[in-house]
Amino acid sequence: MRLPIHLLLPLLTLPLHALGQTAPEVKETPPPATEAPPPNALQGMEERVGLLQGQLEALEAQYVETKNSVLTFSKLKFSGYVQARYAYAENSVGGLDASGNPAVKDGFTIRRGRLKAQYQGDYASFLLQIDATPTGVTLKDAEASIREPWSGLGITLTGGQTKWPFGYEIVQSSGDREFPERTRVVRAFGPGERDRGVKLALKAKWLRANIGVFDGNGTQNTKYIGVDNDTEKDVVGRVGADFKWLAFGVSGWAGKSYRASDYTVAPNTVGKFFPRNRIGFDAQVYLDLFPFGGTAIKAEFIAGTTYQANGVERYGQTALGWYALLVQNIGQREQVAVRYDFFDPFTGTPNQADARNDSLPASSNQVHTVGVMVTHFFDDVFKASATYELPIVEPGGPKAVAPRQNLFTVQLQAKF
Amino acid sequence: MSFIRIAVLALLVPLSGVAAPVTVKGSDTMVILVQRWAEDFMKKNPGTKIQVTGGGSGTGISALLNGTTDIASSSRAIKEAEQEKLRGRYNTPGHEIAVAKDGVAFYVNEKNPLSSLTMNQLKQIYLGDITNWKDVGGPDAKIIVYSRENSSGTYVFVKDHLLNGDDFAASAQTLPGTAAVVNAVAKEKFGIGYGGAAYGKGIRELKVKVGDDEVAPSLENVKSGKYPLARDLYFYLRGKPADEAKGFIDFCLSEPGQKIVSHVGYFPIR
Repeated sequence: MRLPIHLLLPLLTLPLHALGQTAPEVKETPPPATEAPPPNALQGMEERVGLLQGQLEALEAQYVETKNSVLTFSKLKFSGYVQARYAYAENSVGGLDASGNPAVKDGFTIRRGRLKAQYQGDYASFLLQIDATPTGVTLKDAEASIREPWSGLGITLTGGQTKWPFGYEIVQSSGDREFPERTRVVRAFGPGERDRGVKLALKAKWLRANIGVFDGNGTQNTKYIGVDNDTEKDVVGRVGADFKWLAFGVSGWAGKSYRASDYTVAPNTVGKFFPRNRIGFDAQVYLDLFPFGGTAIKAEFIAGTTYQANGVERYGQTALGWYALLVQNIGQREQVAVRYDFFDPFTGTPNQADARNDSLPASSNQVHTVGVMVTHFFDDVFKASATYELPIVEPGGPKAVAPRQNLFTVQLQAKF
Repeated sequence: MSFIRIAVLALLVPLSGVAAPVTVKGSDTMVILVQRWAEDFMKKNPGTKIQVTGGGSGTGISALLNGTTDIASSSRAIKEAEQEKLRGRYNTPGHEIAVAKDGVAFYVNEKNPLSSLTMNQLKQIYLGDITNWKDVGGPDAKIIVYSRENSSGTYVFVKDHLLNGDDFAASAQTLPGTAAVVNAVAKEKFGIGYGGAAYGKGIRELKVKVGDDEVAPSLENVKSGKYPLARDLYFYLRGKPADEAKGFIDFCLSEPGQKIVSHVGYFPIR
């Protein structure tokens, strides 16, 4: 828009200079066609140039204003993804289970319907993410962040509802994860992955450090969704290194969980605080072993006290688990992955048969899960994956037989 | 019968030596250099086709991420977020190869009497805090600021290394490609623009004042790092280079390839 001013002005002023220079020649050979315009015509042209210049300057001002508006919108970004899923579960039955919840574990569902809005200012940023599924719309992330610009250390302070800075799989986006769901150990120690609090992040060359203070209950504790039930706060953090082909870290979690009055448990266990601690190690290696595609090996170990199972806090219970994941790309569009996942929900308690029915394993027994997955990327928006997972519960007794609960999942994902 | 013929032909095509072209997409700053490399390489290797397109470093890296180019040319280093996407999608950290060196030069019109500016003066001009040449020792005239599109690696480099991440002045005019910036500055007496040193012909490159020294974006100053806006020019791949892509990159880094770098106006990497 600016260009026309500089192009037009010389063009418009050129006839005036030309007229001034050729005036004597007009006197010598005055052809009628090149006769000098009368003074009032010259004045009119000057006024017209002045008018045009004013109009162009006004346009320039409008252009700057429009550009500022466009810049504002260019900082606002929307993204999201939908995961449409069909699952076939071996242990799926009709009707309701003992708790009154549907016992059907297979069929079609919208597992995730995410929409994220993000505004990135010079120093501050806004982020809001919701999840719309057949069961309702829930808030996932609501973050207010500010970046410190002076040190070059990439220090960012974030407050709101945000992911716990713990380990690898909790932080990894479900839209990027290879398997449809997180591992058992991560689902137990980081249910919902998010909590309300404040966290500080630092990125300096290869160093990655994050620490935060959170309510501690997360977003899936059915008794305390959206609220804290005690005055204690949990401190969660991770220190790690990222060398591009290798990344690893150590995570820690220190906090307390208050058990309020509950008619279903012994009176001496209520009205007291239980430690809610975790320690974790994670590592990811990315290798160029084969000419047809990259190879990644990822592993994580977590052990701790007090975790959640089906939205209920298991106060003071110790558990541990780990997983190892191998992912291989084949060409640009195919990906295969194998995952082994181990979870011991009651460490220190030996595997045993169910006390009420010795043909079944106890719920405290260890679980091994082996999964295989194949994904085809149609483009950078759409991918389809098929996953087969075999959970193996330790039987814990000569008569006990682990229930068959293999799961086959087909998922279509569109992401923008 | 016709189906069988088609099937046989489809099987034979890969055996016939008709290889898919190696695609290089990205930096507008590098497009002339990469085209020259491609022309010379294809002369020596008639069976190989190299396709070169510009669009900006960001466009090239996006194409690498969505699988529509074999090589992304970039006048800036890959961003961490881009690298994370590469790892997430392809399970590879990517492969970075520095293929040439460059100094981002600031150009003024030949009639502009100024010969140098400090980094801070350049920063203030591009932030819009200084708008008249007289404030930096020049004539009493409004500064006409030219910049690049945000998909440009040179834009990102100047934003990160000169403006410390701040936004360019809203009055800065965005032009598509360094050639367009050079053209605009050559026509506009009070203009200022920036781009690769190779484009600095026909207009005057400003020296950058560092202490008492006036440092030009010359070979020795860029290679020694004395010039404060020196940078590497890169190729990025999803994995280790193989086959024709490897042959092409080896040529770019070879002595004849690096002679082309100097001939085009950039600086050899070694």
